[in-house]
Amino acid sequence: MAAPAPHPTFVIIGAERAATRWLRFHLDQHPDICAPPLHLDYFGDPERMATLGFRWYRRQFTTFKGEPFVGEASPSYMMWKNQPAQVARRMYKALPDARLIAIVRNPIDRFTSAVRHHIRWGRLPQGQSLYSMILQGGDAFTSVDPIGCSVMFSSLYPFVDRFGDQLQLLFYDDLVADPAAFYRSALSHIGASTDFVPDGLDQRLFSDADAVDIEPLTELERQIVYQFFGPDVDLLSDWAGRDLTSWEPRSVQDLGTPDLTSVFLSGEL
Amino acid sequence: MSPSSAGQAPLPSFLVIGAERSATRWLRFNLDRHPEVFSPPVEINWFSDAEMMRARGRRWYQSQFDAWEGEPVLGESSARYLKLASSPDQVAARIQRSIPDVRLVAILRQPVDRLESAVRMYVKQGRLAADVDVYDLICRNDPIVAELDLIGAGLYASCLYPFLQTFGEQLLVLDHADIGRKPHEVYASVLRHLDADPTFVPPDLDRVRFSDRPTVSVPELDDEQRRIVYTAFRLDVEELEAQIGRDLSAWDPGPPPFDRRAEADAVLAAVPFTGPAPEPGETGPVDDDDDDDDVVDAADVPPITRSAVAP
Repeated sequence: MAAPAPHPTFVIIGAERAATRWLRFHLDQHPDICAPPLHLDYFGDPERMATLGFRWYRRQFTTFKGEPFVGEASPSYMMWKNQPAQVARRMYKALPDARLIAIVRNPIDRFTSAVRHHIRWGRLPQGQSLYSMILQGGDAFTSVDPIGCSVMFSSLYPFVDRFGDQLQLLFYDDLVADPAAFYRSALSHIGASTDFVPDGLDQRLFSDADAVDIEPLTELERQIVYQFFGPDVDLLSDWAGRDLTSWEPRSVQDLGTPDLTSVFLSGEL
Repeated sequence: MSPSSAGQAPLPSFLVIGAERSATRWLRFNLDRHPEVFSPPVEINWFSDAEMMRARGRRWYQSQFDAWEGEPVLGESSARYLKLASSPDQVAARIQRSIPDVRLVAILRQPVDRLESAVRMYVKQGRLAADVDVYDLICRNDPIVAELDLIGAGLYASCLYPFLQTFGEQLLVLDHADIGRKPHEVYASVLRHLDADPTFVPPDLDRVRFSDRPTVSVPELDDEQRRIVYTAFRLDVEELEAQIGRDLSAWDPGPPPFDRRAEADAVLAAVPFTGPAPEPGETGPVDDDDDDDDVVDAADVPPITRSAVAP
């Protein structure tokens, strides 16, 4: 039966193309959790906040029936282009007790998946190599910002700063290795009982991989592109206390990091 | 089950809830031909109309089934139950209050096909002009698009979600394309879902009925326009695939052309909110920047120069 509009108790903040919808979908199967497919993108959009209001946000959970745990997933909250420090501040003001979940993923894989995704939506052109898209840049590329969205630690840090231990960091690699354990750890962070196991946890959902063919980065290109992400990954690795060298392209692991930063800064790339 | 002493039929044991323009009338017509099924030839659209429910009361609703002769399976088909404009969450809640153990059937059709079929229907009804440029209406987000729920009625995942939450396995979801390909199989699967004898086959089951195509000619979307309009439904179809566990990639006409992405953006802007609209007094600026000082700006944390991204 109808229950009053809830305050979400958890929010999945990102990253884009890191199984946020997979997690939300399966959390919603849990009997104590209400996590409808809403795509609210609320706290990342001050205009939406101003014109629609927080009451509107809360009233979107129309199927809420008094479940103890209510949440939404909007990967836009963790996008650099949306100024995560502002997003975190707005969210903290509205939902100071919320539990947050951020999923991080090998940034080059995430970048590749995002480009595929945006091609499918017609926001990026078909038939170009990944690398040539980076080199060309342009308004379309900048506006979907597949590079910035892969700079994940810097984007989630403001949430850490605001929410402290209320934020849980999950690794996409762990989801691939053991979906049930990954799911359980999210449940326990949210506060829900961990004995529930939904069907189909091992099935891929929301993937564009089969729908879009794209020429992947060569090993050298990976090495160059990784320069965008390396410093951020190092910070993430330090902060999370987790070895992330497996995210580095093999050539970086073998040969060490070339000093390409000056090339980027000169704008010649 | 037999007619009650008052002679009035019990409440329906099944409802066909939509989608509009997805062969719901074909299904109702053929279900009614089954000896164990009674389904009257009217779209009552009862649970989607709170005002009518209040004004006429349940007895009136049940009187719509007065021709019932004791068939064990009784139901009606109302395509508005699944329309976004009907607030499916409320429709599902009303149905649950009245008939919690009802069996539901939904037929889903490729959403751009559904939209074009709806346009033909509205042309036939005189609510759209015969030379209507529906692509232009959508790109301009003309008010008629929302008024006729042209996009909303095709946001199946959003519209089905409350029914799935409330009724679970009581809801059978069918793909409209299967009706053309294998009508007998589809028909039998519905009968099994409704606990009617699945071996009965009405004659001419594969005849297409209730199509407006022969009588109405309306300019159709070209291939690129279809791809662009599909943008309105892409996210919803992805959710739907997860919800009903079915691969719907056959619905995908392909990405919209990159050089027409502005039109795809315009189409996205015409997609209605799937939840309740803001109420008066609820809106207003809420984001004052009064406590910015204690925020660590993300830009201060990592030594990374994102300006290098754009050439």
